[in-house]
Amino acid sequence: MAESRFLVVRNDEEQYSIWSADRELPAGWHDTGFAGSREECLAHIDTVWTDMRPRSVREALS
Amino acid sequence: MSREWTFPASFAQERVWMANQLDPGSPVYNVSNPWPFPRELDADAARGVLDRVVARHEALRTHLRMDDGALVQVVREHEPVRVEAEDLSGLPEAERTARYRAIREELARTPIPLDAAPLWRARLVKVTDAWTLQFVVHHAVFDAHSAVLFTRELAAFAAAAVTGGPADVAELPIQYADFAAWQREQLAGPELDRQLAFWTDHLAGAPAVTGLPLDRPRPARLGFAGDEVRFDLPDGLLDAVGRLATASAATPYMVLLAGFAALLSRVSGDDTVVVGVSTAGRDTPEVSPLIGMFVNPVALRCDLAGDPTVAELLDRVRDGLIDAMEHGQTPFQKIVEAVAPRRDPSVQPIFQTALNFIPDSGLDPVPLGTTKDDLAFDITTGESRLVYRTDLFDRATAEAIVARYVRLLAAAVAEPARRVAELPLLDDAERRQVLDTWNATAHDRPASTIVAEVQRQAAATPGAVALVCDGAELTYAELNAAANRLARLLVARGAGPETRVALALPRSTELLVAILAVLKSGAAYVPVDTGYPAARIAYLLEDAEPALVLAAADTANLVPGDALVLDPLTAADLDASDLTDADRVAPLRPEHPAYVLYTSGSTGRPKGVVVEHRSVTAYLAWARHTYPGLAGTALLHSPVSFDLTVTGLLGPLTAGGTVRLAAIDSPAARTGGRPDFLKVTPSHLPLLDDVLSPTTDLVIGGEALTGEQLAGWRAAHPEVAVINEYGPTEATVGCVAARIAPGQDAPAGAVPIGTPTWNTRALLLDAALNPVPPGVAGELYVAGDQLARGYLRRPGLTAERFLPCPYGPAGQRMYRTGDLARWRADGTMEYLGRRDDQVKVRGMRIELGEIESALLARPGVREAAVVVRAEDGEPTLVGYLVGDVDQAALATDLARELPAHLVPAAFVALDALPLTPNGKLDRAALPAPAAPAVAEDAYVAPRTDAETLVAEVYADILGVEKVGARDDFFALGGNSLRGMRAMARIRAEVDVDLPMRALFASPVVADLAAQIESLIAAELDGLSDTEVAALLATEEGRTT
Repeated sequence: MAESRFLVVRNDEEQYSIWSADRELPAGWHDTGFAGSREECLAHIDTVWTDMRPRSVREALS
Repeated sequence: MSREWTFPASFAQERVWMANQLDPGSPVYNVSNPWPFPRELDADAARGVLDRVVARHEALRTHLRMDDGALVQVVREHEPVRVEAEDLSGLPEAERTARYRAIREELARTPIPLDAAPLWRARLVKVTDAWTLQFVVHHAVFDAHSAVLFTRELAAFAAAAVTGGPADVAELPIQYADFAAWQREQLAGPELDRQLAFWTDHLAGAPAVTGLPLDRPRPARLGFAGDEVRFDLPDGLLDAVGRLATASAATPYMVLLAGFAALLSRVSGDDTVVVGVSTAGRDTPEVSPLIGMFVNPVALRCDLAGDPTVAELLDRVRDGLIDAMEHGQTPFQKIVEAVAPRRDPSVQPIFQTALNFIPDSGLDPVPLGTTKDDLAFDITTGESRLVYRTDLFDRATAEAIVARYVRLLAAAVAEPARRVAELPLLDDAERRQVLDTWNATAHDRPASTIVAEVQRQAAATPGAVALVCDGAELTYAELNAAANRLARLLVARGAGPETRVALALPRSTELLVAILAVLKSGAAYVPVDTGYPAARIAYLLEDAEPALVLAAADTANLVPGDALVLDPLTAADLDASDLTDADRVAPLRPEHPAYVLYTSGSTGRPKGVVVEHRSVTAYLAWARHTYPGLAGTALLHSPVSFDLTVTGLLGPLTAGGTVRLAAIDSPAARTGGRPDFLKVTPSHLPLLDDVLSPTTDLVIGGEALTGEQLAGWRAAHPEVAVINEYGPTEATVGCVAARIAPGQDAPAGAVPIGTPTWNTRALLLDAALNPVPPGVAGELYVAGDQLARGYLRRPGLTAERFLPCPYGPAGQRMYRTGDLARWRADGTMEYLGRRDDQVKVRGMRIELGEIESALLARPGVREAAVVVRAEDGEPTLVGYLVGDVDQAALATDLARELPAHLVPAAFVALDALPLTPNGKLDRAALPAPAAPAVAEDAYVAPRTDAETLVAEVYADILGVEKVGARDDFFALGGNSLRGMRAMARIRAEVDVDLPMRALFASPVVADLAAQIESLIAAELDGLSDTEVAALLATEEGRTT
């Protein structure tokens, strides 16, 4: 059986998560274009989500 | 005396006989087969017709008997049948209907003892102008195909009687007993071994017991008590089933079965399910015209792993069923002996659910109130039914199962390309109920910071006592001023929003001042438990990357040299007024973190949970509303590194209350009268005497709570509200809670965790993230205002646990708790344990809480814990007890209440249960049972005549040299068949009516001997046989 595929997704606060590629993505979340196994997606997020502050907090501080 | 001949019983007869022994007083094996005679026939002629059928079939003249340790079938010479006739046609209609019904029900529900011929009961009843035959027969001599033959032959002989011509009935080539002898010859030696090897392999690794959610725990012994829900499949559904079958090279039965397997898997969460399937057992043409019992059940294992589509599942079911049918003649009891030799009287072996497709036959006309399986569907083209075990299921649950089966089946056949995981289980109303109605928690509340709320309180009640610690009191004004001064220093040292300050401070006034000061600076506090090992403290300080570390003089050695060591003069000269945003590095907003608490996962290193001000103030607003005691005195005893502590710390300080800071076992905790508010873990409950017990709110969190744990305290303090609060740190202290109002009793068993807090939604979802139906275990996901930001500097881990929420506002996240829970019918939630800790012993899922409750319910047991230990590889249950307990009697006593697999194999007495610093049970610190604790192995010579007898019989039948008083029949290699022989031998020796189920319930020599002695004693007491029988009947819980 093929391993399940996931997408790396992000909401408007630029918080990242993963979502099964087979399932409809909930509203307010966007596909970042990265797909892979669960582990690959989580490893990818470890490299790209470098500032975990929600976007609104980040913008208020800058 | 008529002549009779004995033959070996068939395997099917043996199986039915053994099963029937579990409760000979139940009509569970009665089969009703009424038939209307043509109106031309009078009662004598009708009797003659039945007589001809009985004359043809030896099975209808057969009974069963134990003969020299083996079951035999005894065939009687034919004698004219005697059947009473009752003419109701002259009665008024109402009376006639009532009488007719009474006759049918009486016949159907009267048990037919297997040891006296014939194994049927008949009555001729005339309701209108024709006689009808009311015929009820024991399943040991009759099956579904027999019913077809019986009806056909009655019709043929009746037609012949009407016309006077010959009956159109062919000679029987052989009789049932011939078949039985042939079968015994066929299924022996290498052929039987080959077949058993197939079944052992087929069932390897399959769950021994279905994981279906039950309404009640299994009783220690199963009976046959059951009920049924009748229903009609929606129009066209069976046609659609047939079309999918044709398109898939399958049969309609396979489609129905695939649907059932899908339902069982979805509802139980098991990805392997085992379903009972009946085989006709008439593989040779000689037996097809014979009335008799040929049916053999087989266990079909269905594999639902790997997220299959409906079509894929159907393929698997088809292939599995074809394989299983090819081995359908293996006697089921032989499979049981090979696969599950140790009988557990609480569970039907191998399969507990079944599905029959009997398109053309109707259902039993009279519901018997019995069942053989936990759940069994009988699907027909007309009315169908679900038969269920009433010991385990409520009627409402059975009705819900029917509705879900129909809904799922209809969706499956409509869209076979869909994944099984995505088939709908809930209807729209149920979906709205679990997602919306039970989550209607909206509560208008502006986001704010802890700082704003504490300062609001300090301004409102400056002179009120905010803190009592070490005999000193601090007013709100004093506490606020001290925190302001320190906060200014922290800001000067670099603390501000989005930075962290670690606090390596003992429980003290300074600790509270420091917490408030960090919050006021805009930074998040990171508590460091100074009692932790140095390596853990070092890890934490490195991982948290604090801008600043605060320590006290006596904890300075635990932290790096650049830490700020507090003393009475620290910041003493700074401005004591509230900080404004202008005083901070950056404005403090509700979205900034307030604290970072480290939690240990079961795997990996501790991780810091980042919780924002808005989440804490959201929780506190709900808590102040729910816990009026927070406006009084709260005893704060748990470490501030534990998020349970937030309630008693920040709750009072935003409600005008007083925090009394003291260890729970210190005199200071008892100074100043009973607190108004106290929050503890269930493990703390035994410590709460009259002085420590709160007057208003007792909040219990951190661990699962049972009514038994709470009962003692509740009885002494009925006037206090008890709140069971559930919440992972990631959803801020408490996100689901249940309140037991003053005066209300603690419920038995698991205390529900209740309903979500304000603006929080609790979702119970399956693996495909679909909501699960009420009653079904699902994983708990939490969404809403109390969600933490994530794990400090762990983006991957955060992304894994905080997922897009499909059931809330756009862009919202939901936290995956890893906990299992289920909705009760009243919309409250019940906690079922950690998802990863699903414990299985002997293949059966174990609820440790259920065993702990049973232990706590025993007199003398003050505290109890049950764990699974696997020191020797094989997981076994060990019970830990605090209190004055007779351990020797414990296992025996528990075995009366709990299924055998839930009785701990060993017990350990402790002075107290070990606790973690947070007050939770420290499972890792529980000692292994001393080796001799499992003393079952030690040989104890039989001590009484009865024990000697039982031991001798065991030894003889099992071919074992030495059998002691503590030896277990099944552990020595016994099986049901040998058990049958053993019981026959014992009955012959002592002449007491010892039922077969006595052996299943008491397989140990001493226990069985005790039962025999009490039976003999009952006789010696001078009771008549009838009285003894009546007594026995009560003892065995059966009705005669």
